[in-house]
Amino acid sequence: MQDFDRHIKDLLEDAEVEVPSGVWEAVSAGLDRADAKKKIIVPPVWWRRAGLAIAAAAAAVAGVFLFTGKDNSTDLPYFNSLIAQDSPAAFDVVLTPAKDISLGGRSLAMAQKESASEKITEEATEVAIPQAVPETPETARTPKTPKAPAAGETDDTEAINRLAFEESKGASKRPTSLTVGSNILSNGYPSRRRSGMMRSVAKGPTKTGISDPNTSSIFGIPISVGIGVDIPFSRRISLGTGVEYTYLSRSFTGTYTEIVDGEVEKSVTGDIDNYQHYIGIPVNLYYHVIDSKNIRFYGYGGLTLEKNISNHYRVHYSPSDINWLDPAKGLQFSVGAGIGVEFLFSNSFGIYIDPGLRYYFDCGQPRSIRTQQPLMMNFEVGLRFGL
Amino acid sequence: MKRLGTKLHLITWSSEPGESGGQTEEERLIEACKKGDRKAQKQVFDRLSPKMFAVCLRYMGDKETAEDVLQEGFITLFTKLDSFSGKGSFEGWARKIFVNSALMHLRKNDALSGSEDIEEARSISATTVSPVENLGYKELLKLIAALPDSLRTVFNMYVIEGYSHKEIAEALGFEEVTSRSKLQRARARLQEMIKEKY
Repeated sequence: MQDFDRHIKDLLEDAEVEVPSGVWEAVSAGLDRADAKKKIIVPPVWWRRAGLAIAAAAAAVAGVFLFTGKDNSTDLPYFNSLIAQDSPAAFDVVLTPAKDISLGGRSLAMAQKESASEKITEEATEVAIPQAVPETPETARTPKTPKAPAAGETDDTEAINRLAFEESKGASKRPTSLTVGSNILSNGYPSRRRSGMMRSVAKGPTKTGISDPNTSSIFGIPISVGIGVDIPFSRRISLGTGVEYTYLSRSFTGTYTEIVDGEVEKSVTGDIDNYQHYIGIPVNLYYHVIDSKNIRFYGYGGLTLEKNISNHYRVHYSPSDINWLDPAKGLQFSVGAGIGVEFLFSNSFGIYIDPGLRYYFDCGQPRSIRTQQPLMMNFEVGLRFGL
Repeated sequence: MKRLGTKLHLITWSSEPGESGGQTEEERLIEACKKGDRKAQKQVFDRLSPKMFAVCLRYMGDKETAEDVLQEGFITLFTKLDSFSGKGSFEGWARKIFVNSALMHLRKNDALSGSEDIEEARSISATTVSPVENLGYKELLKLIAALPDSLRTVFNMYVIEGYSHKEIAEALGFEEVTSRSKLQRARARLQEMIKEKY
């Protein structure tokens, strides 16, 4: 070093300059603002997403009642048909041709006819005329053992039984379908911490890596998109599988250390963004509770295996950011379950909404919202096409 | 290879073990700051700010901008304190934050990419006698402040912080040879100003 440089360095290296008044107050105010941002009390994101999913499911149910029929009486057939199949004892309750079933001058049978397939049109027409039954509504609500219709009595029971049968036949013919969906999972500030794999360079670094104190990560919303098939095994059970892609992101403060030939080439402390990309295969079993022409309700459960295909760190640095790829080994295993609703717009096209819960097992994957908050709410929406 | 922080002095306050479980006063203060203790943060500010303000002045050249960078630097320091591992010098770690804040500020204002007048670097030999020994640091700070932004930045990073030309080139986004050239020109201008004024 030149004498000129050395003299200047000696003079300035530990130089001190009086700080103008007011700087601390400005710093303190800035820290107060930063603290206030942290302390804003908001419901945990998990609960907000859960609330959103439940609200969506509730709206879906309400939508069924509002839009699938032309009047009040038409709300009933789909549910009646199920009751008819599953609970004979309750059949009388819904089939007793009380006056209040025949609203708007139209009978329940008429409503059934409108919703049923053409195959039963003739039978339904035969029972279209409502019969005056001298039973009070209270009596009508009393469960009774099914009995054979008396001679001359309108055979609503038979007609609706047939309708229910036809509907269930339609369901059993549900084709293998193709699904295209996207999935948003809960995120936020994790309430508990697990390790997550991080190539630490804190102690005697020997390889290039990032030291992450795991203190204040901010996680992006995990997003998945996928394509799959839904294969029916029976009227109620089907298997869904396919391929899905998931994107995870987070920001944190850490130190990037670059090691070349065993020596530290570069060490940068600052803000770091991490982007992870996964490809996975989900396998789910679906149990269809309601399966009609216009709507399906179901519960599902299953597992997903995923492979990290990219683990990218971007270190904010002047003048240009440092990009570092740290491939992750192994597989991520998770299990999930939930409920779903599908609106069918035709025999071969529907939109589904599947809120659920998913648990990610500790599989030594890079740190992410999954390693920090392994139980997550997910909210999947998608399109389903009959094949 | 020279690296930022390796040449920095240890923090000036006591690093002797204190009463609380063998922690030094520095460690105790840092822990308190991490918990958001405003009094502890004020103590750290009082002890570090004169040196860090000098760092900011060296890089920014004018007092007002240096104040802004000092303020931003302290907010960053306290909000990112969790990332200080406790190994190595706290003052060195802090100084990196202020230098980085200054560089980011200059970068935002496009001050680093600007090219000052392409004047031929006057070849001043290393043995050139200059009256720099007669200067006080305040006068020297004023002279450095008068340098164009990119010359001043390279000069500070190389001469005071101890960066290599390779590191400076990477940090500022130009070739190593450009860093050498800028350093040479910064030296030349400083010598010239010193001769003129003193």
